[in-house]
Amino acid sequence: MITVDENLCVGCALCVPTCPEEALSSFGLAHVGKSCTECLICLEFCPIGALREERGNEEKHD
Amino acid sequence: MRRNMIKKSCDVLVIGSGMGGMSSAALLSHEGYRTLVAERLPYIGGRCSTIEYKGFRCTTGVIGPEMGGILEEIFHKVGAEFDVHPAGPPHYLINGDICEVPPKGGFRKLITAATKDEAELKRVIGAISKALGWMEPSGAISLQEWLLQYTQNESILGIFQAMVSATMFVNADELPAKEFFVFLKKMKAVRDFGFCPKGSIALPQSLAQVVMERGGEVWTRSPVTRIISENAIVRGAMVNKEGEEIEVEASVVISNCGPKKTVELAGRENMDKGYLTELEETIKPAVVIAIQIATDKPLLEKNYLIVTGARRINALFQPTNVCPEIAPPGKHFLLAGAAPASSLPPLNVQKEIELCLQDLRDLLPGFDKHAEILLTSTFHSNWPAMHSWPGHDVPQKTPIINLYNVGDGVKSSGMIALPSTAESALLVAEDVKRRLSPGA
Repeated sequence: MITVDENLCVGCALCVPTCPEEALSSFGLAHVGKSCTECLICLEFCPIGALREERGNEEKHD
Repeated sequence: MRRNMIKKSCDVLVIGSGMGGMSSAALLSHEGYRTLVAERLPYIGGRCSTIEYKGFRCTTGVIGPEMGGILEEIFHKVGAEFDVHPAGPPHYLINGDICEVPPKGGFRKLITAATKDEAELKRVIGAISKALGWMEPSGAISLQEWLLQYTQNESILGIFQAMVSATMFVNADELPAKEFFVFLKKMKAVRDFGFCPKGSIALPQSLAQVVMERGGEVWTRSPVTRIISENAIVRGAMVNKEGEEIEVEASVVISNCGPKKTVELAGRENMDKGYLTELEETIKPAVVIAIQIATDKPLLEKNYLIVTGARRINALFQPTNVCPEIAPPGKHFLLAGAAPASSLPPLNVQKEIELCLQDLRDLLPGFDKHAEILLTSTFHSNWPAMHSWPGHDVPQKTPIINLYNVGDGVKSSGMIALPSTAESALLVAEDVKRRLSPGA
């Protein structure tokens, strides 16, 4: 799943337009919604590397 | 098994394709230096770029490039297209009335709109004239402290707060008074600026074309992982080009990723202790909130408006008045800029954005009916409006010989935003030309 590092994210929202599923939103902080398909496109567009792919852990997005 | 390292050589390696990086790359390519630009992101331009969203050419940061100044000069010098359409004369919203700022006598007109007190007008105009014509005030006090010597009028203070926060990205109580007047003299408060019909990305793309026509290269998806130096002289950098590690040998490395990131890449152990201390004490990232809005009818009469007296919003731009191509047919694009109460952390971003939205509803009748918010962007910390506040910059040279910084963290006094990045690139390119020949 895609998670947001809240210590790094500045809420620039540049990730939002990159999501083909419109799963991303930003209001001061990026948020990954349920329609995320983990295509990973957003990861390379984040200018500070605040979006990450987490594998096999308990972190959730809602 | 470890593969053989791929090696490449060039005269100049530029890290980051923001306008500081692309301007220096274009200037040096134009002079015959073999230049390579390595950009980490999939697109060029950094905070001067464009992302298509719902048919709108949204900006990654820059909304209105300066016209007729150093930025445009660089484009002309290297033969690059500068496709910027003038935004027209500035207007201020003061006590509910729109006031057009004439080319001369602008302060008098603005302050007259804020006070009926002739003695107060005379006092403030007299102080401004002295600061511009005789001697700038000290940088030891803020612009706000300087103003309070002459007026307590909230509307007058609001004009300066809006002007400074919209154009210099700090609040009036954070800006050294001297810096404001140097800015007015050098940049005339960025009176002339415009909008790019193809989006801000047109500017770095135009410079990238110059680099490539001169035999240089611009790599995207290529983060620099380490700057290499030996005996305090730069030797190049390790670049991860789309997953492949490449050692790039270069006589000169120009970093456009901010002075702190440059240190991280070059290694603190390779930096002078005094430089590191200066960096820690000096650099303060500038904060901006930008709200990009789609509307189904023009909500702003003017092309842009500096807003005084609002909670947070300090400027409104409607670039589709000048460049309808920015929006899909029948739609309009509006951008609101704002400054938080303090540029210093911690920043309560959600609260600040809420205040901006309240302002937008007050300022733009029909906002809820006719507007859709596309993107709410905040710029601070590691992705700031500027890498440092005006007057809080470090030099372009670093303690490592032939390793330079360009951009808005190494500005000259009085310079801000895009023009400051362009000027830093010009100064670095001139220094490189003085010290090293192409192919050396």
